[in-house]
Amino acid sequence: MSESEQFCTFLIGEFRCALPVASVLEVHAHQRLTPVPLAPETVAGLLNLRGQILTVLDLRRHVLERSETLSAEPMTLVLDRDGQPVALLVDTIGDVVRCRSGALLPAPETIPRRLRSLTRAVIHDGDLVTLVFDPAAVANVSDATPSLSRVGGVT
Amino acid sequence: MSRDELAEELREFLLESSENLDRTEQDLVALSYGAERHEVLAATFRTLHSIKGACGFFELEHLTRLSHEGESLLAILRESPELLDDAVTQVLLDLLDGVRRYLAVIEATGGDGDETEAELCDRLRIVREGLQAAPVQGLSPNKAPAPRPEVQIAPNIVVFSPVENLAPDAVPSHINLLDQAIRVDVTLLDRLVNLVGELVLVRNRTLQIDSVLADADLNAAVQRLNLITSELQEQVMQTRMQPMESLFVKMPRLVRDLARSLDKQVRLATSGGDTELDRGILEAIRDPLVHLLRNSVDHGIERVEERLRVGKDPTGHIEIAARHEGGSVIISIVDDGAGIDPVAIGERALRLGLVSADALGTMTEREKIELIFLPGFSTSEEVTNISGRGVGMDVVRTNIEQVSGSIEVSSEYSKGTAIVLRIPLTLAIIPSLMLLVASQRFALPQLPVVELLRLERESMADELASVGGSLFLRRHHQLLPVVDLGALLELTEPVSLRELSIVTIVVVQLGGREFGLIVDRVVDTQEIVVKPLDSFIGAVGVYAGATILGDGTVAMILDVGGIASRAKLSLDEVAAADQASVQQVVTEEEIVLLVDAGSAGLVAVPVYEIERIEEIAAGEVQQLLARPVIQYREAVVELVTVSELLGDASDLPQTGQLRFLVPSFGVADRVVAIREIVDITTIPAVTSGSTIIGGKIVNTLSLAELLMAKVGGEDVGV
Repeated sequence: MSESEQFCTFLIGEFRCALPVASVLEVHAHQRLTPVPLAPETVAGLLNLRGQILTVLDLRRHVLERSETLSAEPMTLVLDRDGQPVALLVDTIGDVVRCRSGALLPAPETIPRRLRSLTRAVIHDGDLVTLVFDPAAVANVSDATPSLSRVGGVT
Repeated sequence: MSRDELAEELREFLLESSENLDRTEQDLVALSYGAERHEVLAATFRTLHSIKGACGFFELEHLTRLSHEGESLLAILRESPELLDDAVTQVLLDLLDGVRRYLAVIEATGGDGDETEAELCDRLRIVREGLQAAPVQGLSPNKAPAPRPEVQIAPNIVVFSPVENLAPDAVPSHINLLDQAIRVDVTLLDRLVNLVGELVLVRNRTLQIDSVLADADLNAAVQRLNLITSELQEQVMQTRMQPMESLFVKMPRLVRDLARSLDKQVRLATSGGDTELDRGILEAIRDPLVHLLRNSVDHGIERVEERLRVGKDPTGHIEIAARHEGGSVIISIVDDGAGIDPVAIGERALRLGLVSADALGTMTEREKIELIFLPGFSTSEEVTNISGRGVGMDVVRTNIEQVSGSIEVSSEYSKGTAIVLRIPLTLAIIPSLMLLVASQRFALPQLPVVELLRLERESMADELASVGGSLFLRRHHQLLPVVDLGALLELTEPVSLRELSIVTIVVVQLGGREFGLIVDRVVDTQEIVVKPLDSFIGAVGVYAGATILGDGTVAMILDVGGIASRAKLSLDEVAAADQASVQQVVTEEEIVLLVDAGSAGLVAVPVYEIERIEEIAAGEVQQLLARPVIQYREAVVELVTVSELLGDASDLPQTGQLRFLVPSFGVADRVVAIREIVDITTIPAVTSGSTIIGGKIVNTLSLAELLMAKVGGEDVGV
């Protein structure tokens, strides 16, 4: 049991995803964002978190196909990124699950290509498959050109 | 004395010494400009002496030896200032550098480490012995460093009185001054500024709540909070202000060393050293300023023989001046060197593939000179020989723009170069206009804002013109480019002049040139705290940061320079919109109102001749002295038809709605009746005659000419 890790799970569309609890600073219900015109598409806007301005990345835009509609009231997950927090939009935030490190399996070839760069491992729990994201990759999704990876996912 | 106290003393010693060294260096360099030798040498002696004294106290063996050697040399020089020549000055400057090197070691390790300056010590000794051997009047070779003057020097030894042989009574005169000032860690000041920034935000929020609640007691308290916050903010910002002098002090030495190594003669003059600037900004412009100065000496100022050949003073002059102007500090660096050859610059840029031959062909001299700011223009040595200027200017420009400053170069080939930097006073809290663009709030720093304009429909056509797809504003006899912010930010479709009823334009200036920004509305002005942006949002290029508004929401801060470049409204284009070329555009094309004038057919009237277009029921027309008149704006005005103006009979309709044009010029008692407005369009400018618009022949006429002619020629009705 000592070799176990906790994950914060969340839903994006059909996907059950997770991030290590240690990388998640806080979670929030839907908040009003300030849009940033001309910013990359994954930038949902800016958020005032107790006097600190956070960039909010819409992780859903990266994970989902372009055609899928996004829910109007996403939840916000604040992630640590080298001491500079960044916020992520996800559909719903779920439970914290504990998982022995042995239960983490390598990401299978079958997951869509656009998710492969984000996914560090998967957790199989019966029928449930949870994608475990790499916090650093997730926190920088707009650094990688999102449109390209999306194209990759379509083909 | 405890360990801590000792460490504290040592820190004080380092600070004091480094300040004294800076000042001494400045004085020594000033010597070549003919400053009073004796005083300077005496001051240099005192600096060295106090360092030596403190060294004994801190048991710094090597620095003691070096400063002792220096002191001995200076003792001789002080007695015989005439011995000081250029070579000796150089040794003294080297001495200061050597002391600095030891100080750096002391700061890092607490001790003066290994003896690294033995060679310098030897040089000092050799020079001293050389001077002592020189048969100079009044110099007694065996005179040891005089003990007597030490009493006089005491007042300058501020903190370190442990030197035993100092007269204690000499110290007090300085103590008072010291009591007025303390050293504060800069990080503490930065934290204070941040906290005040937060306080300003809370104040803004409180003001907003107060305006909603409308409670008298609360209001009084909030007003007080408001006042105190403003004052606190001002004072705290003041603590971060530093005089330009702190940058200037290093410059003479820099120029001197560089000129020496290049075998040139350069004299540097500085002025406005007392101009204060936020220390963060000061820090940010240090490197660019050094770079520009280096360029001036290196590539601007010619060699002596060259200067003599072209009939210039053999000594090149460089002047750095700083002054306040509005909310900015203007720093100019002017030299009387070779200037920049726009032709060579252009050729170079062409060869590097930075511009096309076509583009180069249409460039003005000024535009060519500005090519030096292009990234990659000037990293090679070659360019320095050809153009004589411009190494790393893109970096300089970037650095300056990072602190929201601007840089401008003007140069007259063979006469010299002037570089003007415009730098904001402070960055942390800035007064801003809050704008509404496509219903979203944006902050625009007030600094570049020149004026706010509100154009109503009637005057809009007169003041706003669309030329070749771009909008221009007629302003003080020039056309200013206008940027539609909503469209630029891709929030709205481009505005159509015809659909707008009111336009709000914020006129801003950038690099000495102006342009307009179309916004929905200017909400108010606010002091905002600038917060930095994530790199990939910063990369968008049109934002200077973000801020938190009184209600807690975030607003983007617009960056005027970024907007201009996104709108491809480079300075050059703005310049192109300047007088000459613009006048041409204005006279070549004209915006006209196409109207159905009844029996006179379609006529085109220049919009600038029309102040308003009005409507009235035909029944309201009355007759006065057999002329149709109406009451308009509390006056009686005569209705003239276009056919009348053209010499035919009046064809004024008797029923329905009448439309009439109110001329924009001084014929106040007449308006021109028309049937219908057909269109607003642009036609080649002609004063009178006919033109074809949309396949129809249209008479173009000037209301001004016709009305004036009528007034002059016939009896006037009313």
